[in-house]
Amino acid sequence: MPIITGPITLGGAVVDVLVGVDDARIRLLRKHGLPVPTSRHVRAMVDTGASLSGFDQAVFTSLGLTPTRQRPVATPSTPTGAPFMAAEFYVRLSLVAGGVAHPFKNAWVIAVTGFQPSEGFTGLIGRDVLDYCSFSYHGTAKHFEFSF
Amino acid sequence: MQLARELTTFQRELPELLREPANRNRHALIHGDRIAGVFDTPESALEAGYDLFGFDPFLVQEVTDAPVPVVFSRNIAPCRL
Repeated sequence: MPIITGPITLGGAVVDVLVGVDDARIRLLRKHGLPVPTSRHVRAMVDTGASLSGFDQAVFTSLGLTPTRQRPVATPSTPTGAPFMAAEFYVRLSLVAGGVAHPFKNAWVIAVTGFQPSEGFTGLIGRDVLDYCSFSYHGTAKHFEFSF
Repeated sequence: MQLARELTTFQRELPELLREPANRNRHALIHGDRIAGVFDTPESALEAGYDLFGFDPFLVQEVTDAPVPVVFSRNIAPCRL
């Protein structure tokens, strides 16, 4: 079982993720003789307050992906009963442990904006991913463990 | 806005889709101004979308009149379609 360990930084528990196109899209690209884009490296905060994972819009643009679903999204600033509608994409996620990328799962994720450069990440790993992992936050020792 | 036509089609056709109980909580594949099919999972609808429409835009939406929002405790700004 791969294990990611890291320090708890100002941004929290941040992990390295590779975001790539899903298998069906790969088959389509190959059928048309087109290159499969390289998966994009994203630093992502483990966010137990997020029910779904999300990444900066630029990740999807660089993979040549267009959204195929939309999902209602509620945040502290959305009026009650009036969620945003967010663009959703199906992607292949890999998690990086010890410098090695481990294929994880295909997942529906949303495109989000609003990350601050000082935070040091442009993605959120939500409970859709955490449902398949163990995550330990050692606050006093200032480090975390994430296994999958 | 991307997929505006497909979203309009889905909103127009949703009441008719919901009239058939077997469609409820399944996943509609929408291309242009027509519903191309209803599938058990969003992944199977996506795969059919690539098979049928290639790189043409298409939309996959759950057939429900009560979509459950995903929740973020952080004030993200979602990108709309």
